[in-house]
Amino acid sequence: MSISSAHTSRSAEAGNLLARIDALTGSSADAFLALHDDTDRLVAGVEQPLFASELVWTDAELQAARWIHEVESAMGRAGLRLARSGEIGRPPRARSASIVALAMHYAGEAMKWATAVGARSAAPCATLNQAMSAAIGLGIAREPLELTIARQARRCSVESLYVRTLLLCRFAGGNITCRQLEILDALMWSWLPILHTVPGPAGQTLHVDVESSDGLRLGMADPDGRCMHLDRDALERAYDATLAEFQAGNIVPEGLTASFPMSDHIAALDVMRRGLRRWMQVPVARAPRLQVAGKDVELFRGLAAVAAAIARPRAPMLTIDVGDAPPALSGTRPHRDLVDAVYETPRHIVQLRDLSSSGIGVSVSAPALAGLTLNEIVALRLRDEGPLVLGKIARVLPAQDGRRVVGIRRLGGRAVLMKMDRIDGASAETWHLVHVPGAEASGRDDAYLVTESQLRSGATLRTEVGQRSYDLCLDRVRDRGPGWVLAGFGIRAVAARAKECA
Amino acid sequence: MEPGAERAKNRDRYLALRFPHAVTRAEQLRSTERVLGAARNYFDQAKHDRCMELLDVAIGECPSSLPYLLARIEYAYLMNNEEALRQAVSGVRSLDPPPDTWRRVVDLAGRMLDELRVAGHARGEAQDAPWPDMPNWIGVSMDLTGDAHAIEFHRDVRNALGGEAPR
Repeated sequence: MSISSAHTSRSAEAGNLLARIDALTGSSADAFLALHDDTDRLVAGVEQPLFASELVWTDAELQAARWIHEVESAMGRAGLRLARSGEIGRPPRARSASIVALAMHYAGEAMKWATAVGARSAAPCATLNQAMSAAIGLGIAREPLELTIARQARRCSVESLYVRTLLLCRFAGGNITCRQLEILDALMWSWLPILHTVPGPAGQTLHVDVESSDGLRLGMADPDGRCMHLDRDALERAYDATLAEFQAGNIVPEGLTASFPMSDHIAALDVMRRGLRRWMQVPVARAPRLQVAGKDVELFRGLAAVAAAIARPRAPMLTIDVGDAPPALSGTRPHRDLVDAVYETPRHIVQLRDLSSSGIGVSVSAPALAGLTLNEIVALRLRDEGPLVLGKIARVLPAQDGRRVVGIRRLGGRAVLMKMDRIDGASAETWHLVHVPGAEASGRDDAYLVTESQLRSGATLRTEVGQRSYDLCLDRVRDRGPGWVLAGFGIRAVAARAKECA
Repeated sequence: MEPGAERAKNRDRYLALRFPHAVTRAEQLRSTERVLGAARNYFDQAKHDRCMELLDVAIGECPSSLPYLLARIEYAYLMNNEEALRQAVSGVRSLDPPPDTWRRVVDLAGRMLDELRVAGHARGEAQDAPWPDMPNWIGVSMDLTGDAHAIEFHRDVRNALGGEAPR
């Protein structure tokens, strides 16, 4: 069933569901538990096809994702409201624990879908902490529970779902996609028995103060023992065991996420690894961003377009002035030089939003987004007369007015096109490769942007720079994406450049 | 597809994505030259986790390969990773290595692991030097010409761009 039909057929029931959640009061615990059954069933039917979709969702899919976010946020708020009311103090204990646990669950789900639809809602750590504090006070935080979640019976506790939600809050940032976040969440569900807190260990810990409005914090154990600490050793063991399963060819855990692409699993494992390893290190601050007021720039997509843009003079000598069409209408701008006039090269115009030393945020209209893929190689000129900046598509998020925000991660420094002669005897070819210098003066981060076949050829290439001629081999992958590889190289020989005949 | 074949396919997919260009099929893990070369590249690029994981999967494929275990010892030492060092030393000990090799393991690992020092294993003379005599089990080239050429190349390209800094 398609997203739109699944959503449309349920739209009446779905709209009714939101109204019923909104009507919940602080004393309707039984109604909340009944609503959970309906929410779980309806959401499961809508969310599964969404994960099968490619990078850019259609409007119907985006609408479905927003609906899930709205419903789960409302359930989370209602559950947390109940958890903080006197309602959960009434017996039986299992009922009270179920309400708080479901509140934690929905807060986590809302967090995931906020990432997916680009909603910038604040992490509900203050209310989560209050609910956890109430559960500890009532002695129900570790009460064993069996709840039906995503149509499966799950053994859990208030504490384990609290830790799961805090970890989701911590991971739901940066470049993570909704599929990768879903994989992380599936891993945490499989690790639920070890998602608990322990007495303050030595050294750096991830901990939370339930009396504060903060989420998980990294640092030294608190001296007055107020904080709850995550079990780092258990989590690291679980991570290592998961990695071992992948190394053996087993995709874990079983279920919906097992069908996701392997690249998403690897990205999710990397996020988890960085999160765990950071426990041992001083946290690194995110590069500061500079907001830019919506300047239009041209985005070059794909290896061929990037190489052509680098080769092309910054200011074309022959131009036809066709004026500036409003980019928001079409996403592309009419051709402006004679080459484009003949070959109808499409131009992708985007709006700069923010800049940092590691990335660039641009706003893109929906038509210009067509065909864009994660990790695609792109280039743009931040200043009219400035050099091209290389990058890869790291993230796409919905924004206002039907546009999308695209996060581009910068790659290397100022790129140049270099002429390279193949000298290994396989064939007499001349390649024009994009040289991407690294920041290291030792040259250890320098690389070339090439195709997979060029890398695989193992060619020895000769190029002349300054007074010297260098023979080099592309021999390692620094980064890659669809249709491109950023290849490191080793220099095999250097010679003085042959003097040209007069 | 048979479960075994499915697992092998998944494993190859994992290896190809995790170690692109270096290892694309499980059988390539048996090539010592390929694995040690790739591990060295990861270490040079400060991808320490990737370097150790590659050695781990290679050791999983060839559990009796002394070169992989010795390389793991040296990397663990260079990364100051006691836990990895302890595991690798234990792995080497189980293979009953030649006495000379074992003495070099103790020389190096004994600098970080108390149990090897306390157990009274032979301590090499290099132990008292400020920097140990590294055994080079990781296969670093002792010829620094390539490094010198890389510096020259980087500088020449930069000069050709008018002396502009890379960033």
